[in-house]
Amino acid sequence: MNKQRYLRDGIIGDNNGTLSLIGHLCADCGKKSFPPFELCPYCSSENVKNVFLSNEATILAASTTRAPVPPYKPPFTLAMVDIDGEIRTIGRIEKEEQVKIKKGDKLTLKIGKLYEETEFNKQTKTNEMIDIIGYYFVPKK
Amino acid sequence: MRDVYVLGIGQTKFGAFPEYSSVDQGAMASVKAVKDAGINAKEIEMAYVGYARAPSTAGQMALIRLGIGGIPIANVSNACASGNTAVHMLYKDIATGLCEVGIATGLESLTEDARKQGGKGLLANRYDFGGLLGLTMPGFFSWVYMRLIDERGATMEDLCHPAIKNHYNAQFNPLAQYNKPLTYEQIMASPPVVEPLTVLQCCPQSDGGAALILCSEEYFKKHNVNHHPKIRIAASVIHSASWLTIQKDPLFSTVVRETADKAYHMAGVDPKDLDLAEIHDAFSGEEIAAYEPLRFCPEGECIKYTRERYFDLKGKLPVNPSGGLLSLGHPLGASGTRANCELVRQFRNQAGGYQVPGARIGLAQMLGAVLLGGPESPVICGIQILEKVRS
Repeated sequence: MNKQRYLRDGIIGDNNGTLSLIGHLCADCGKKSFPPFELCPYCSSENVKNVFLSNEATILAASTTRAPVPPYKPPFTLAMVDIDGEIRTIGRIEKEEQVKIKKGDKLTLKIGKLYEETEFNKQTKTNEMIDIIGYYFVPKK
Repeated sequence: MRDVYVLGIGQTKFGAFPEYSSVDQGAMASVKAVKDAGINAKEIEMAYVGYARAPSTAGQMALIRLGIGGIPIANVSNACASGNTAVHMLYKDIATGLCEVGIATGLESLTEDARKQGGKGLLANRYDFGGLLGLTMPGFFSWVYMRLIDERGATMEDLCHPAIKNHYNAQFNPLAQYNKPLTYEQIMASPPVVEPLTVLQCCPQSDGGAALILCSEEYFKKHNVNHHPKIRIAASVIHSASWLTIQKDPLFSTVVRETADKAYHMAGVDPKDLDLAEIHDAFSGEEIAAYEPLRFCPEGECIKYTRERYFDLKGKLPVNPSGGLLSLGHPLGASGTRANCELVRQFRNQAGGYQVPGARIGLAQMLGAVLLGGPESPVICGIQILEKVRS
């Protein structure tokens, strides 16, 4: 099995046995944000703490990319989504090509492999494959 | 604060020129601007040079070739708004009395940049969260398209109209990268990029340079040997997105609205007073999405106005009469200075086939980011309003 690495540290965590996205909740302005930054991006407060975000999202707009965007091969679908009704972010959507999606459709968040990267291991002096683990969405059944 | 005037402009032909570097483009445009101003380059007291991808001292490298050195030269980078930022910085220095005359140059060679990058495919920034997920510029603007379709009832004919209009306009512009009109059928038959955007709804990757010589009123009076009309920078605003604006609907750019309102207020100009505008049309539908936040039409009516051909060359408010980024070309850092040069050309009645008769007040706007709309890529908007002073 390939080694695994998160797309970025600190954005995914184990929420009682389910991997979830981690955002920030600000104790001063009460707003949630994602990804977690140094300070609250709304009010600049330091009083932020990690919170797990909902595994459900709603599409605002989605589209299919038809050109290669390394390391991704076309076609793939990306969407602007709302999580917890207050976080607007972006995510990949894994679906069969013929499945149509549109504004208002509900999605379920999944944590899994997005792509592979080759990395040179200085100790073994060989190239090894790393699975990059991130998040994506699937249409809710 | 004192008034700031445009003494000279210079612009290269935009296009793909592998024989020239980004620095060459900056030098060529700067020479033209100095000549147009009718001054010796040694007169220049201050320089700002905008670009997104050129070497980190490109400004010094370009200007030393004109004998400009021994003065403060700062390179500024604000993505597609880099050129507006160079103009803005120089504007501030003259307005506050730090200097009398200076140059603002924008330059870029995306041909040079593509050679550095290598490889094929769309550009996604790997250090931005959106880029890691595969988000690109056309990817973001495809969502703007979807929002215009969902909320404004836009059709693909509507969304392609700026590309058709701007390609029509560019046939009269000898400095444009593309000089041929396009049909809706040709646009839709071109290869898909991010649905529903096809290649011909996207601006090309371009090389070019554009520069302006700005000065104080006193300097203008003494040195205007070429007898140019007096053109004042009525407003100059650089404005960045906040987290709140990033979290809003891409249908209506809050950043553009905030920047525009600051600029109209500063200039004391009503949007209805504008004779023309040169704006960021990297994607055909993007131009339509900008009409409302720029107050070119009432909220909710961008499609109605598009269908009435309000923004065509012969419309009430011509937008991108030069051909815009879509057909004039988009050498990132040069586009903001170019848009300002374009207004000056119109006010001097030098725009030939794309002249807006009697043009006197115009707006130049660019919008920049590594990835517009990505959660870690705040947008920068730059707007200048220029006004020909009544003699």
